[in-house]
Amino acid sequence: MNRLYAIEATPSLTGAVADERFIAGPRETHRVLLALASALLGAPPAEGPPWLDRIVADLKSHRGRSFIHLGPDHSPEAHALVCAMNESLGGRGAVYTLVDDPSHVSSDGALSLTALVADMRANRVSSLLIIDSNPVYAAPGVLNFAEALARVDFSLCLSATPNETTGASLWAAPMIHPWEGWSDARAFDGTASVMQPQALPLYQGVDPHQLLALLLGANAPKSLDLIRQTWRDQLGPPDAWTDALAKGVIANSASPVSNRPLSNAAARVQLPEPPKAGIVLLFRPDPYLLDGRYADNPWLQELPRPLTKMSWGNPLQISPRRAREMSLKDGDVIRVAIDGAHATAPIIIAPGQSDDCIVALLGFGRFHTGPVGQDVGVDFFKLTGRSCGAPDIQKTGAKEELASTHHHAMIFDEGGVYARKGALSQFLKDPEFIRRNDEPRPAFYEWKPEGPAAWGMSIDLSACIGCGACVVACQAENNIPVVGKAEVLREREMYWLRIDRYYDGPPESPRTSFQPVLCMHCEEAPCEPVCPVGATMHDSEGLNVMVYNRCVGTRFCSNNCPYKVRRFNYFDFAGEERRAIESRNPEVTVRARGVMEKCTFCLQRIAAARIIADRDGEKSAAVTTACEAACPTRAFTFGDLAAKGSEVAARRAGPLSYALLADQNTKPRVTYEARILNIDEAKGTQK
Amino acid sequence: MTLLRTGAAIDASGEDRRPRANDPIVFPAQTISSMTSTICGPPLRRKWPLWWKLSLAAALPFVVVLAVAVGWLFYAGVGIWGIDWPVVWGFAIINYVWWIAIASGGTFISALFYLAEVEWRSALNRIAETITIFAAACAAIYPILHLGRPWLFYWLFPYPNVMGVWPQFRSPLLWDFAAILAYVISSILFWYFGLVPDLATMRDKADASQKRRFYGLLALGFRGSDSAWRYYTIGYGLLAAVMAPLVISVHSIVGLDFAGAATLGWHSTEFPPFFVFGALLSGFATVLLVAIPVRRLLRLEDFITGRHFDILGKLLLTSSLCVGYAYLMEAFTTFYGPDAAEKRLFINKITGELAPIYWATILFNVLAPQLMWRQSVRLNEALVVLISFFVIIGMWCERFVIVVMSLRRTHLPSAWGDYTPTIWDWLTLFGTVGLFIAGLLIAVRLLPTVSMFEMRETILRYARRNQ
Repeated sequence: MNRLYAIEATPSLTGAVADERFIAGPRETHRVLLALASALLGAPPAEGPPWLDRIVADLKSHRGRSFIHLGPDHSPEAHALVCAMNESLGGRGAVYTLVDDPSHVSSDGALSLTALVADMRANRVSSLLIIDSNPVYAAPGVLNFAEALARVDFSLCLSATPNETTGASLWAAPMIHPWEGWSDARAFDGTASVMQPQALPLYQGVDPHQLLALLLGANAPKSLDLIRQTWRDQLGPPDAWTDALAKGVIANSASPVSNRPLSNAAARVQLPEPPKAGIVLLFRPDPYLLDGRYADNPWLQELPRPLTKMSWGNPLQISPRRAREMSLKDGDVIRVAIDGAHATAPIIIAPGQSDDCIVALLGFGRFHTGPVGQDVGVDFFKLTGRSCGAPDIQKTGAKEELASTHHHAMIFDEGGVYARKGALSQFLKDPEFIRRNDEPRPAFYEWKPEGPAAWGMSIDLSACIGCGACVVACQAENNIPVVGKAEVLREREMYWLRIDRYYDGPPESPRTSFQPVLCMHCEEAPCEPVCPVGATMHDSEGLNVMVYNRCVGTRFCSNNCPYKVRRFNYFDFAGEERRAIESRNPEVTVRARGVMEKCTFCLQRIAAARIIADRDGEKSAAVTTACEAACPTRAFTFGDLAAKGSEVAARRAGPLSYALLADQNTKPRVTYEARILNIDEAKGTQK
Repeated sequence: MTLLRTGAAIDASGEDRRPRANDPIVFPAQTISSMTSTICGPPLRRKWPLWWKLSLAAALPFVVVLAVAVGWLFYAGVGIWGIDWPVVWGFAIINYVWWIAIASGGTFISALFYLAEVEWRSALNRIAETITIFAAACAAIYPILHLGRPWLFYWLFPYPNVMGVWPQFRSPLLWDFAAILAYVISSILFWYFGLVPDLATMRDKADASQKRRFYGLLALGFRGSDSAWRYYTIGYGLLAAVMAPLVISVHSIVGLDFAGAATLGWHSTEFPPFFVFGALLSGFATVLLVAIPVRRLLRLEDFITGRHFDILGKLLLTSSLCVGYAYLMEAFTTFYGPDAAEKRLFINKITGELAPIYWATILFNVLAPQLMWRQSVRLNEALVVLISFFVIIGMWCERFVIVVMSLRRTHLPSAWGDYTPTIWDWLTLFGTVGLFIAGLLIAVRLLPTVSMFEMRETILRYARRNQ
């Protein structure tokens, strides 16, 4: 089993799923790099933190199979140094390969945004074309792009939605959505793809190819012709075009593996000095809004951030110790000033963050966008691009409510009871250690499924990275409404599937666990007997179904659900959503006010599969739930427990499989596979 | 204490009407005819004193508030309340349980003590039953308001329909629906049935023809003949025999609304008797709270005497001890049982951020009534009113603890939440308080406050005994 160490300043998903995670602020990271260089490259001796010895020993004893990955925020020198370390670890070709960078990054200083802005300021730019980009909002604040743009005589911005840049440009041209037109793209390794439209444009607009062609002259060719022309030479016979469309990628277009040796200078590179300041401000793109381009997407605004569980806002993340020192609590508003620019924002205490930094998420505080993203959160772009000096932090005394879906952001020592985990060594000693204490319990009434299938799900907690893709996939599939910040604050979010996050250990450096929780489709479902009108009941295949039009809204089922996976339409949430009717899934009922709802195991997909099976005379067709389909790590396995050779049944029978709240004796159809960490128990990193 | 004994305690006639330990059940000075005119007097009076007008003027706006709150609720949905996820039950259920328990006092005193042939009840049963009617009415609206789709409430009723759909008979809410319906209907019948002979008296006493017609219509032609009385007594006894078990069943089933669920903090076999104890306590407290001002304001001192204070005080104390026992057992079973989540919830109840509400419950329901061990306290009107008021508040807090505090801390810590009632929650609560008070005020204005026909028997029996 592999072992992942994470060393990071602020908690990330990688750190959360790492076997061991260590906290290092910018200065500490500098020391770690120097110490690693000394240990692996024979650089002058440098002392690293005590825990580094273990990592170095592991790296050295697994030469040819180990790898160091450095985050994108670090200096080119640091990257060069790490490349040299990897080279010395000898994993090239086996653990990693290098390819020539397929994209045309303007690393040339003369072509950088800074240079452009300088030219604009000096009135050396008379016409500016901005395609699908929003520099007025998302350029480093120090550049003051908007002011520079005002000096340009002719500016045209092509954008799918109104934004800060279309507002500041002379002309704004509407762009179609990338799904609505022909285009091409390259993947990280250079693999090319031809993108064919998935829908006719909903609104009138042009795509970038068309715009550029139009600017070159009248009688511009169509985008499709332009794309075909580009790839004609590489593809050869006409069949190859259709082939590429069918496969989605152009075969063998990946960049070749580079066998060039690394320059010797890489190992001797001088790292730039780390910031001197006690606390620095680190900027990170919001995990869902990125640089704010998705700020007008309510699904992404509301989707709880994996670690903070924040929706509709970007409080500054601060370490528990710093918060204590400054006597700050969640929601206390502070004023951060750096080089004359300042922002006022609430804080949130981020367990596991370095004391040396405050983290600001970018992408919020959009001031010219659609109704959803307008003025949600705080714009920290204006603080970017400035010195790395210490920011001036002042308490304002104000307080803001944080719309977190974990209404109790506390450190909880019993998290492991729910999201179970253990060390590899424990597993090897006793494969069933995870469920040793779950006694089988007697049932008063034994329910026997009579249907042809017995649907069940197994969720692998070792695979789950807590990203939230399943949550939003479920939302899209099942027409789950977005409720907005005010209703999230009132604890009324509607997610059928949520990802619970637990912390174990000290707040300064906890271990994080994720656990997707959805309706367990209990065989002995506690929700069913308490409903006075029988609006929730079992079907013959073991699904706990909800009859919306029978529900009168007593909400007793929710009280009786130990997993609390039922959601209630306190208002007409679906009706209040401003969205195109076409954006809803026509196979799924839109729920009315006053009705309870919950996960159906994507009943509509099961029904569709049943129809296909009936038509083809098979026993049952495969069903993939929306969450399962979206999961990038295949944590979900859904299927028929009764079918021969079914993967879900095999997983359920595995040694790590356990039921959540087994003592409730609900006989859930959803079971979990405990997370196994490759850690050394003797070193005391895990209880 | 001296402060409380001054001024108003002295009757206009100069006679001291403070309750005393050796008071008889009815003062011998009262004859049947003097009693009848004392009781008939106020409803037949043309003009009513200022206190009545002022009280009604204070109560009626709250009725309007209730109407507005309910109207807005139906229009906008239950989202206007503070209920959320995971606290999906809130004020509606708290208030429902609170009111239905307040209603119990009347039934206890009227039905149970009637069957037990308790003499002192005749002075209090009318007041108590009137409390029952209005409190039950206030209670009965809440389960409907509580629903997400209140216009479909009748789906809980097992009526034949073309789709062959029946309610879910395993659900405690269905039992509750049946129990409360039976209870409200029987309470109204019992109250009205008990009123009939007195309405006939009012008809006979009324001077204006309008009033005669009003009371005559309500009296249903009761003439007081021997046969009428014979059937009446049988009917009344039967109704009392129905009511007495009903009051136990209704509160047991309200308890099962909670105990029937597997929810933390609710799943306990002690709930049915615990809810009956709670109902007794709040029932007696409300009777005291209402009877004390009514006694003064309507000059009923000769009928509601120190004996009544003494007995009701002891009953309040007894039921408070029962409730205290239930609280103790709740703690005991929690820690005796194996469920860690139950224990965590209980510790949160007694030490968490809402712990003051738990301790207010203990203080108001268990500790404050202990003052009633002293006879001097039981006879001190101001203190009795104060303690009864405490109990009423305490019982509301108790339901808050049961409903909200249990739901806030469920099995999975990830699903823990908070609960903040909104202005509409409070307005609906105060609105029903206004409805209750207005109802009582109108009832004492129109109807005899003491059951005259039963009082006559009591007076006769007393006179005979004293001969």
